[in-house]
Amino acid sequence: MQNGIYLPNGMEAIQAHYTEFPLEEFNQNPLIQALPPLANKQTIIRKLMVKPIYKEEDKYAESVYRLHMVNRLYQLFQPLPKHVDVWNMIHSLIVQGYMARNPFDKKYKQYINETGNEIINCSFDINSRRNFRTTAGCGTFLGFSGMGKTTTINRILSNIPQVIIHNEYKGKHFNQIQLVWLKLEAPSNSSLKALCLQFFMKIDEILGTNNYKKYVSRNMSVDNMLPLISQVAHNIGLGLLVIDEIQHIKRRGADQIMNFFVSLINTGVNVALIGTPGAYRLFGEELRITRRLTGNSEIIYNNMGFGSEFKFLLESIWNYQWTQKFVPYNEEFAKVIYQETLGISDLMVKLIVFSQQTAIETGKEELTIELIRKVAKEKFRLMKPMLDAIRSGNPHKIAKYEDIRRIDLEQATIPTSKPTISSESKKVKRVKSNDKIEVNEKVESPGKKAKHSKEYMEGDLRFLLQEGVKNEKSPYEVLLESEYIEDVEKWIRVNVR
Amino acid sequence: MDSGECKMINILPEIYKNELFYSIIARYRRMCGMVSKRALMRDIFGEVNTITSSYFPQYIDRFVNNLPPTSKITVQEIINNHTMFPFYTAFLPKAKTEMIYKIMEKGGTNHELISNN
Repeated sequence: MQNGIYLPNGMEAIQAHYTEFPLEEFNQNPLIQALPPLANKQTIIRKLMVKPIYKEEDKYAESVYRLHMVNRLYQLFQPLPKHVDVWNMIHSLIVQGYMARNPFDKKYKQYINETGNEIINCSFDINSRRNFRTTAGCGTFLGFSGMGKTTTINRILSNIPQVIIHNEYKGKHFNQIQLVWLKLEAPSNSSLKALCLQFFMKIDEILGTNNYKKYVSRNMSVDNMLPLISQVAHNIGLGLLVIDEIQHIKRRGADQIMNFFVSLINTGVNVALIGTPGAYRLFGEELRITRRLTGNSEIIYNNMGFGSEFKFLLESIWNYQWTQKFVPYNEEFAKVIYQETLGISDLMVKLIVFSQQTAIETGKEELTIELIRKVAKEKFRLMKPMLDAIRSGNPHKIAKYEDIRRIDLEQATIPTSKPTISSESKKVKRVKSNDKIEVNEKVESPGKKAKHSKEYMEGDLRFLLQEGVKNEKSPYEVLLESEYIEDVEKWIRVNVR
Repeated sequence: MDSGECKMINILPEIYKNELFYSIIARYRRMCGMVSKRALMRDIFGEVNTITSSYFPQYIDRFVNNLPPTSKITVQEIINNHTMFPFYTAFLPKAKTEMIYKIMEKGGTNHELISNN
C-alpha cells in the first residue's frame, strides 16, 4: 500500500489518503473518504484470487519434492459468486456504519460528548439518545464447516487497510487513528466478560494504546463495560466488529450475549457474525434479536449443489496437477468427486491433494476415478457418518449433527439412489430466520389445504404414505424403509447387550 | 519512554481557534468518558505526577509525542496559540521568555523558576 507507516508498536498502518467519491454524502466524511474506492466485480475477483505457484517444469522434479509441491494447492483461493456477495456485505456495512459517524458533524459530536458525560457521571442509559440515529447494522454469514468462511472473511479483510492514521482534513487538524475492522473470536465458554476484555486487549495490541488500563478497573461489571466499549469504538472509528465462531456460544449464555450484540448495534457499532449452522438456534428465539442481527444482510453458504459453481471450482483446482501425466478434466471426475465430497470446498481440495500424493507415491503418476474413490474411502473415514447424513438429505439423520443443519428449503439434487427428501421438518422450520420465506409459506399453506389435492410433493410424508397404500404396505413399514424412523429391534438388541 | 509501555491518544477533538490547552484536554476527557483522573494524566503526559496549570501547562513535548504518529500539531503551535504564553511574555526580556518557553515544553520545578528569577 502507498504511504505505509509503522506504529511505535510495530503494527503497519497507512496514512489517510482522501479519495473523492461520486456520492456527495461520502465526501463530507473523512472516515469514509480514507477507505479505498469501491471496487467493481472484476476488481473484487482479481483482488480475492490467490493462485499457487505452478510451473510446467515442476513436473519433472523428483517425486519427493513433488509431494510437497502438491501442498501448494491449499493456498488456492478461487473467488465464487458467493464471495463477491460477502465482499459487498462487508463493504456496505462499513460504509453505512460510518455514515452517521462523521467526526465533523454537529449532532455526532453532541452525542459523543453526552455519552461521555454520562459515563463519567455514571448515568448511562442506552435509550437516551436524542437527535442522533446510528446507521449501524449487522451482517450474518453462516455456512457449513469447511466451506472457507473464515478464509473468505480473512481474504476480504486483508484487502481493507486495518489502521488508518489521519492528521489533516480539509486544512484542519484532525488527529485520529482509525481502526477499520476488528476480528474477535466468540469465547468458548460464552462468557460475556471474556468477550469484553478481549475487545479491549485486541485494540491495545493493534494500536499500541492502553485502553485496557485506562478504562477497565478490576471489579468492573459487564454492564459498566458496554458503554465504554461503544465509546471506545466511536473514538477509534471502528467500522466493523467481526465475531467469528459464534456457534461457540452455548445455551447458557446465549440470551445474554445476543442481547449484548443488539445493544452494541444500538450504540452504533457494526457487527458481523460468522459461524456454522450450529448457530441457527441462537437466532430462533426472538424476532427482535433475529431482525437486528440479520437485518442488513445474511448470507448462508452451505455445500454447493452439483451445478456450475461446483464445476467451476473443480475445474480451477483441476488445472494444478503435479503428476507427470496431465489428465484433462471431464464430467466423470466431477460426478465422482461430488459424490465423495458433496461440494464442500475444503474436502474437494483435500481429496485432490491426497489423490495426487498417492499417485506420486505409488508411481502411477496419474489421477483416475478408482484412485480418487479409494483415497476418499481411506481419508474421510471419520467424516463418513456426517457426509452420509448430508447425502441422504434425511432431516432425522442430519439433526444428529448440529453443524450441518440446513436452513434453506430447497435441497440440492444429489445423484443418489435414494429419493430426495425435503428437509422441511418442524425443527428446521422453527429455526428459520428468513422472514420472507416464512411469509410466503403462510400464504401458500392455506391454499394447499383448500385444494384438498391428493397429489403431494415428493418428499412429503403424505406422499410416502400414499405410495405405501398403493404398494399395500403399512405406514410403519413405509416410514421404516425411508429411514424416517429407526428400527425398534436395533434398540432392543443394544439393551440386551 | 520505553517502547513497551507506549501510550497513545487515539483521537484528539478538533482544536478550536484560541482555545486554551486546558479546555482541549477537558473535552478530550469528556469525549472518552474517562472516569479516572490519574488515567487521564497518564494518557496525556505518560506520567501521573506532573505539574499542570490551566494558563501555563508544562510537558507539552510529551503530549505532542503521545499524539497519533504523523500528527501535524507542534509544541510551538500549542504554546503560542493555546496558552497564555504570548500575553504573559509580551513585555518580558528575551532570556526570560525563552526560559518560560523551555519550561512549558520540557517541564521544570518551581525551584528552577525561583532560582532563575
